[in-house]
Amino acid sequence: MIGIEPILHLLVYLAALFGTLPVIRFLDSWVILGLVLATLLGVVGDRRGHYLLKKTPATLLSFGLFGLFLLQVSRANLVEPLIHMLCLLLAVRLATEKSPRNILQLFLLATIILAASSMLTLDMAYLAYLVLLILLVTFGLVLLTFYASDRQLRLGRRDWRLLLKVMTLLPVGSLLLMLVLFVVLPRTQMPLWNFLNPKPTAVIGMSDEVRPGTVLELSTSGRIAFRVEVEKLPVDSLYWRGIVLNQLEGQVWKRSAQVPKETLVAEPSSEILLNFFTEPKSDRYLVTLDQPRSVEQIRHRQGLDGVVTGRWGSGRKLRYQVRAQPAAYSRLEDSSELYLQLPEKLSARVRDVGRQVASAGETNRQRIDQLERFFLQQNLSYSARRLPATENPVETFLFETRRGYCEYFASSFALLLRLAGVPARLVGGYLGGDYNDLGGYYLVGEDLAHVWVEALDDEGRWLRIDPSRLATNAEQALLASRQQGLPRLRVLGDALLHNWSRLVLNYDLRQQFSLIREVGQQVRGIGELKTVDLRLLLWMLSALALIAGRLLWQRHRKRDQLLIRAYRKQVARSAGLEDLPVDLGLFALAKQSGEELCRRFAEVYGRSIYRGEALSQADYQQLRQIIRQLRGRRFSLAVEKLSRVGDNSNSPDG
Amino acid sequence: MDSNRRKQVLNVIDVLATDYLQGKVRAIRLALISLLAGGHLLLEDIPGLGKTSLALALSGILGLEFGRIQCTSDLLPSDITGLSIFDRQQNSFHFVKGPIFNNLVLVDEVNRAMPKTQSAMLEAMEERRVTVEGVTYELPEPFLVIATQNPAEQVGTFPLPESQLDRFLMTTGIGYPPPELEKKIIQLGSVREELETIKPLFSREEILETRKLVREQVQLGDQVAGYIHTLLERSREHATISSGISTRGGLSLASAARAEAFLEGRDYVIPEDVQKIAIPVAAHRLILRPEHETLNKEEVLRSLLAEIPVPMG
Repeated sequence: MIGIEPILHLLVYLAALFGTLPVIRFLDSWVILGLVLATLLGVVGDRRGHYLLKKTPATLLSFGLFGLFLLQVSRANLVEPLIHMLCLLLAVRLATEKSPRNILQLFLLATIILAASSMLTLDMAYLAYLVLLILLVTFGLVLLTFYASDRQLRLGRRDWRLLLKVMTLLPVGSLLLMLVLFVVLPRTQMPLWNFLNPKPTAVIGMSDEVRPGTVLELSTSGRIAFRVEVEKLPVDSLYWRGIVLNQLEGQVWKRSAQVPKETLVAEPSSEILLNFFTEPKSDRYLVTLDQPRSVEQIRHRQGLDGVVTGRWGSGRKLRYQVRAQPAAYSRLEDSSELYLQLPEKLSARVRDVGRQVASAGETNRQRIDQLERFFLQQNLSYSARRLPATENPVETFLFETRRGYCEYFASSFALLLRLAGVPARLVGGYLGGDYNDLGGYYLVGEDLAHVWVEALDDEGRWLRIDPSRLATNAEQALLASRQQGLPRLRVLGDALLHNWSRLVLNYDLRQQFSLIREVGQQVRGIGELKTVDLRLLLWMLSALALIAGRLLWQRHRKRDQLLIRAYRKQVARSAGLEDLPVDLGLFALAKQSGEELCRRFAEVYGRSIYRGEALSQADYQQLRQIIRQLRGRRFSLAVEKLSRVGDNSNSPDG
Repeated sequence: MDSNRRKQVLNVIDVLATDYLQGKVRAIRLALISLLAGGHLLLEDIPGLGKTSLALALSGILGLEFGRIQCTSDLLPSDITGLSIFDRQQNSFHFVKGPIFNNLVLVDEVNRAMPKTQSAMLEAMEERRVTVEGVTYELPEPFLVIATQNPAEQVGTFPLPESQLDRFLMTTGIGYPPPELEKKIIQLGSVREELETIKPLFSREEILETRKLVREQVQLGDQVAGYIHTLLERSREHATISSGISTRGGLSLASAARAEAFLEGRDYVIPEDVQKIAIPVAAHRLILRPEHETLNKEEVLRSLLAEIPVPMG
């Protein structure tokens, strides 16, 4: 026998805990302290039966807190004071007496706080808290109805078990309903509560300019840049194209918007469809895969040189679709003047190398090859650490330190190409990525940001050249770190996170429509079945129903047989016998053992089978219970007397 | 289920067993089962163990009319059924009913009567009517015959053939009373006179009503019917038995089991009821093979019962 009251109190405290946990990191410490103190006061009060915080002061305190909230609140700052006030109201209720009315308020407050927490954060844990809270509150409300009518009510174990079953059914049902509503209810174009979300802190993106020598160490932030849903691609084609820098001003590569005309020579056989999911970012360039043919599902502008720009609210996660053709190339249709422009001030050593390269041959191809040879001869190494600050980074890099990261390699390479008369430009983006085979997508971190070179060949086609690969340690320093593969657990976690944000947070009108369209198509497919098929279907259905009915009946019989077998086995064990005699009936057995449990079993089970009535579920449970209770019992059955059951000379009556 | 009727019957058993017929609980109970099942009882035992006392006490306590037939080898059928006698004043024959026209008839030493008389009587028992000189007379209801026979005495007897035995619902012995009880009986003397003063606890109508109750209200399910059928089949296949329990035997088992279930306060029959009444109801119906004739029929049946699994769903 367990009373309802302690269980209900436990549920209340748990609900309060799970209601406030998701917001706890947004709460001021004094509010948290208040919550803890109130809980302690409440628990002590529950024990002693009287509470320090009486009714009237509690009400006054609540009003006071509401006033405080009104003072703090403003249009810009609405959510946090609201949550603070809700938490404080919860604290007041936790500390006061747990009357049915107060318990109801507590459940309500916990639920509202959890709902309000979604304005601050919507991570995956929210779902877990929601499910838990729904369970707790449903249990609590059911118990509360009992509690309201009789506070001292105590229930036996069987009743509890029954109650638990009913109580579990309720929230499971409502959770399923929630799922259906989530899918079906009309959506806004954007995630519903996105406008309330706090603005993300500034995020580094691709930089608009490349200025080697100013950043002396690249930090590894571990931030995620974007995820791309696509089948696994060859490692060499993982050049995620972002920005093209075509103008060299002094040491700084910049982007000029005036781009000469060029066209994409398509290679349709190599076309790939990619779904990009970016983290919030501050730049306005959309990352694509080299070479992008088209971008869909987002408002954008595609430049002639394959750079895609767009405008969107800052702090939004973006989602768009890209069609790319890795085998396609871009052909310059206009003059290449822009790509040959040089800074005025250049060191003599650099100019020498340019001349040397230019003298290697007439064609661009030969000059590029010559420059590559030169890079290899210089024994350059790839490094992102402890680079000296210098006025003339290209010269320092090529002839003195011979160490640098991609910006050094690419900018020096492009500069020397231009010196040698080969049109060249820088492309900024990302290289590599970890393929998550659970989610079927590439995870690309900000660490993988990369710069490479595009040079014009003799037919006017842009060639992708990655000078960083010419470093002596390219294999280990550049490539290895970009495809190291993630630990299994992180793969799993990241796949979950990705799907959470994709399927739940970003579930919007468009996805809803496509889902409905798919379902509609399937339904229409069914409607096109011919009548013959329908008749066949009908036959099959009735046959299935017949089989199901028979199986159900058999299961019922089988259930009873298993029950009686278990019972006889248990009785035999309790009596210390190997097996019970076959001619020993249930009632005779009950009489022989003198055991009350056996008598009850015989009565319930015997009534069912010998009168031809089916065993009800409640009876079945009761019989199972009896078998369990028999486990501890020991009694004796007089075996030698059993065979004389037919003789009733010694029994005056039943 | 009318538990008052059941209490009444149990009360009868109790009063008889404690006040008048100590140590004969089983026989009393079987007699009442016979009465409720609408069958007849054959008491097989040596003289002087209270067979007649049992019949007298039963008729007294049940408020039934009692008739007694003492069988001898010169007993004629008309001595049982009655005969027409010419009435001079009325100038016509009129039928004088014999002792069989009673509710409870004690047929003492039935194996002493001639086969002709025996068969006349047994036919009356079965048909529950008597035809004399072309006129049929119904026997009163309830009608219970308690016949006795002495198995030990063989000289000058006509043992009942098995076909006739089949007409008795039950056969049982009475057995000696336990030593303590017997000593007390010797000390206190016979109760025969006291039996005259028994007050009826039951009326004729109540007995009929109770019978109806047993017949109609006590359920005999598939499982138990199957159990009885298995018993019949096994008895027919058994190695020592030449002819097993007949269909009538099966019917008798069912109706006796119903009565037993009623006495136990259940409105459905369980296999244990069948086990309890099987020996008195079915043992005398078995006809053993000649080479096994010396076997005790009750033991044969008991071993048969021990082999048949009780149906449990």
